[in-house]
Amino acid sequence: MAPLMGTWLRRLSYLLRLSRHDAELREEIEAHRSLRQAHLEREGLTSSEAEDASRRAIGNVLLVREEAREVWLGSWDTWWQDIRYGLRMLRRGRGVATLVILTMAVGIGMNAAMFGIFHAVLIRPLPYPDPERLLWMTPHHQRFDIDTFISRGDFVVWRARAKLFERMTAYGQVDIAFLASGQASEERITSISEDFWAITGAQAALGRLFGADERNAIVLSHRTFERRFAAEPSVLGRTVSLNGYPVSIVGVLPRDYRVAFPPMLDDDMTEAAGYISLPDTPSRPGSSDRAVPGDRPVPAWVRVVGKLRPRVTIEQGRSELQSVFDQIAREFPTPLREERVLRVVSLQQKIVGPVQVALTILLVAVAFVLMIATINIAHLLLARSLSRQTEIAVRMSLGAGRTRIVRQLLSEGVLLTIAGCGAGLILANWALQAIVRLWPQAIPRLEGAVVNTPVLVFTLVAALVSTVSFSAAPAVSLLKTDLAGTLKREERVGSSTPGVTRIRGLLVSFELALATALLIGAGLMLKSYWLMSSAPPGVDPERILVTRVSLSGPRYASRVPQEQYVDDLLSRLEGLTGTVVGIDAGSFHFPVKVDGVSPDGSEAAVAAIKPVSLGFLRVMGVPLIRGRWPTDTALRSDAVESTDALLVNQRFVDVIMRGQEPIGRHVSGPALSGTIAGVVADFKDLQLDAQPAPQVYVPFKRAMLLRSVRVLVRTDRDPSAAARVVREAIAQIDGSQAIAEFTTLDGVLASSVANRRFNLSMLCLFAAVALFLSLTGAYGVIAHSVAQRRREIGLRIALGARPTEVVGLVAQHEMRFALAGIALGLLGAFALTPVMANLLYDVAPRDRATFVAVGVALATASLLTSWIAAVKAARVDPVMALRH
Amino acid sequence: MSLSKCSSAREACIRFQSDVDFHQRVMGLTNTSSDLLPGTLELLILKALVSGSKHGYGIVEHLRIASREMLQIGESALYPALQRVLLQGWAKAEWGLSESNRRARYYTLTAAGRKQLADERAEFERMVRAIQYVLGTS
Repeated sequence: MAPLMGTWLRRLSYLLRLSRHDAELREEIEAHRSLRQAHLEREGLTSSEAEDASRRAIGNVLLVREEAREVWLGSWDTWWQDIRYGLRMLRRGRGVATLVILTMAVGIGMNAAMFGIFHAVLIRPLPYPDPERLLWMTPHHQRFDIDTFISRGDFVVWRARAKLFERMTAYGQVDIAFLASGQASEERITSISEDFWAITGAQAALGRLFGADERNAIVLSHRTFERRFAAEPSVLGRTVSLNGYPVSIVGVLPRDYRVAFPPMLDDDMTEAAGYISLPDTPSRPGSSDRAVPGDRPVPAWVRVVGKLRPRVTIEQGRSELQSVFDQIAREFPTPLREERVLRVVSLQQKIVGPVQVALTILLVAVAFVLMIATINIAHLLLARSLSRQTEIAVRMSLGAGRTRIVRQLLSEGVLLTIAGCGAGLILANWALQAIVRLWPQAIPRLEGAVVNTPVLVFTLVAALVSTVSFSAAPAVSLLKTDLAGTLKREERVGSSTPGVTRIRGLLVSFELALATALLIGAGLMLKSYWLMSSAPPGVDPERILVTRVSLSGPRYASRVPQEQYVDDLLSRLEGLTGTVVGIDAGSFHFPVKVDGVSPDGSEAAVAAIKPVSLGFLRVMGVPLIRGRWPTDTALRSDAVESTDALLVNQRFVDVIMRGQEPIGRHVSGPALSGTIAGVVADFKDLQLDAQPAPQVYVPFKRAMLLRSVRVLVRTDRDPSAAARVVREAIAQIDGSQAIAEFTTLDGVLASSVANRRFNLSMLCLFAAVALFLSLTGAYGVIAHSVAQRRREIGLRIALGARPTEVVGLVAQHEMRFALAGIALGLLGAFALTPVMANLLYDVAPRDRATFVAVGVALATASLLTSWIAAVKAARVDPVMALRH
Repeated sequence: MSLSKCSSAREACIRFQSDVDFHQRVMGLTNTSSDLLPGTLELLILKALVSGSKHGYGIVEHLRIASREMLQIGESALYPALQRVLLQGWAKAEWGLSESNRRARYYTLTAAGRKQLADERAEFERMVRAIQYVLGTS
């Protein structure tokens, strides 16, 4: 141990006095030499002969000194030398170095950001204890392909009979009036069953969590705690009222606690304001409970998350639950069980399943971009290395071994990579922050995307692969340098062999192929988005305000006051100048029958019955295609027996009536009976990326539930000013009723496709960067290879060829690689795009127009590039070209 | 090349030998890289220092004479070996004045060096015996 310590201490002291030791060694060697010289003189040589002989005897002093230094410092010393030399070389080639660093920063940065998102969404386990044991269990409606709900009664049976599950919890959400300190607002309250806290691993930040049997306890979310109660700890024990039902605040959840369980409506990510317990009142499986006013708010339907016992597989859990599901269907049949099968998947799969394909595609796309960037960097370094042939030749003749040279080049590569990576990570960090702020709703679990350890590891690996790739080519080409020839300047400095030129051409082809594939993908998505967002006729979604009013409290317990309120609302808002008002009381899907139209097969025709006020269609600016508008009174009436005039949309005619003449036909269904008076055009008011369903518009007073209505207002004024006015008007009717936040229709439609917009933006960005990089790479390579052929071009011109001929010759030669690359890209895209089918709306993955457009555009761009490069070459003075 | 007076036949042999290696040296052919077993050169250096402090050239001369002209150590081998000796703490180095009143760096054996010399020497002799056994020479 002691000798080892001593060694290190001596090394340290050597390091501290490095230059002095080096100078002393020089002196020592020189003294040695002069002693040898003296010896030789004594033996009879003349002093000059002796001096020469002694110098020759020493050999390479530099090598001796280096070796001596290496004894003390190990190979660190040479590494340090390499780095300093590398920095100097890079500073000299500042332009190239900057370009390389920028290219790498863009490539690595984009990859790091995309991987960060990928990791946060798909790889990171859910923030609950034992997340791999959590299962999502739901009935699934086969025809509409959506997950539906179960009744609380069903849940009780599931929990009792499914023995393979350690825990099971049900939760449901209601939007109700939350009254605290005299202020009412509409909030979302989640009712939870017993195991909820255990499954989510929640801890109270303040106070405590309630047990299952506590009927009047509520736990607040942190956001509500801050917003409504100004984060005062004294809030504990205070009473708030939910739809008239008193609950006492027992606890507050931590600030970063978010329940990422799937919401009741799959697209509605509103966070719950508080949690109360689910009543345990036994109810018959298959029936939904109506909340009794003044009693605890209870959701009619619930969703279920279960936790398997350890070492039980998903398959086992699924088959056990399936048998329970079938038993219930036999024992308690209801019509609502029809067409529903059981769906059991892991909870993570449920939450992130829909975006898996898209994110994987984006990750592959961004990897393409990195490949293109790496190839560009290789081009740049290759070009630069050709101009360093002389330097390398001199170094090699001075005694540098091949390993030393390669190490030197690798060090330069490492320096560039460090700089590029650093810049790239800064870029990635900024990009992730921007994305999370701009598209919070785009992807589930997006908020966890930050530059963390996995991202850093990924960046390191990507950078390593990239560095080795782009350092290899220049290193190999340099090692093949013909020493003597280079030193004698027989070959022009900066020439390359035909082999190298061909490799560069192939690399350009590959780049263009990748860029083509990306552009096609982006083009398809662009076309899809454009088709999807073409506005319905006459509607300007930005000028339409949307809000929701939910009636709560004992006063509105029965139907008559509810209708009274809505009437009042309509007349007040219509009284405001410059507005058109509409009420939308929801959308109920029921099978309908049209007289004279036989059902198609065994499936009943299902239509969406929309109770609306007439103003609704006017607000949306929907034109009437056939027939006539019902009068205002008719649409306000609630008499069922009269031949009520109904409106249907075009889709109804197409799908349900299969194109037959609709006017005058009688339509009937549950709680529906009337004659079709007119047909209106299709429009989208909720989902931008779904085709409108077949719809029947009935007077809103015929709605089965009138508890909560959507209010749409078209205004000429500035939306935020109008919103204030409308809110005041509504509040005047009854200040205790909750009015939801105002949005614009534009906002509603946009957030319905937030995910698509995210995918589209990312893919377009990648494609644009890929295009830019590959075109500049191609330009650089073409310009360089044209410069290589200067001699040949000069010769041709000197021999009488016209410049245009020469240009044509050169351009043609270069285009071969470009066209090959584009063709390869088209083929590749043809093979790969079916993977994107789910991401595209109304566009075939092999849409011919897009393929052709991209192919032509890229071919034109490459032609232009070659042309420009060739034209520059043709300006060569033949004499100069020949001489050099 | 001139001959000086030799006093005996033995001296003539030595002289002849020195002429040969002088010739070799003039022709720059004598920078011996260490064909020796690694570590042997350091051992030899330590031995050279037993008889008193020497500078680099002095060590070379000592080894040349003591090995009866068989070992001509070149600078490229000597100085790295000297550095290793210094690194391990087996010798100390100090600047002083040489015989010709020039500045020279003198190496002195330390106590640790003495111990190392004894250990290494024993180890070396063991190694040589082993090789001799294998090769079948006594």
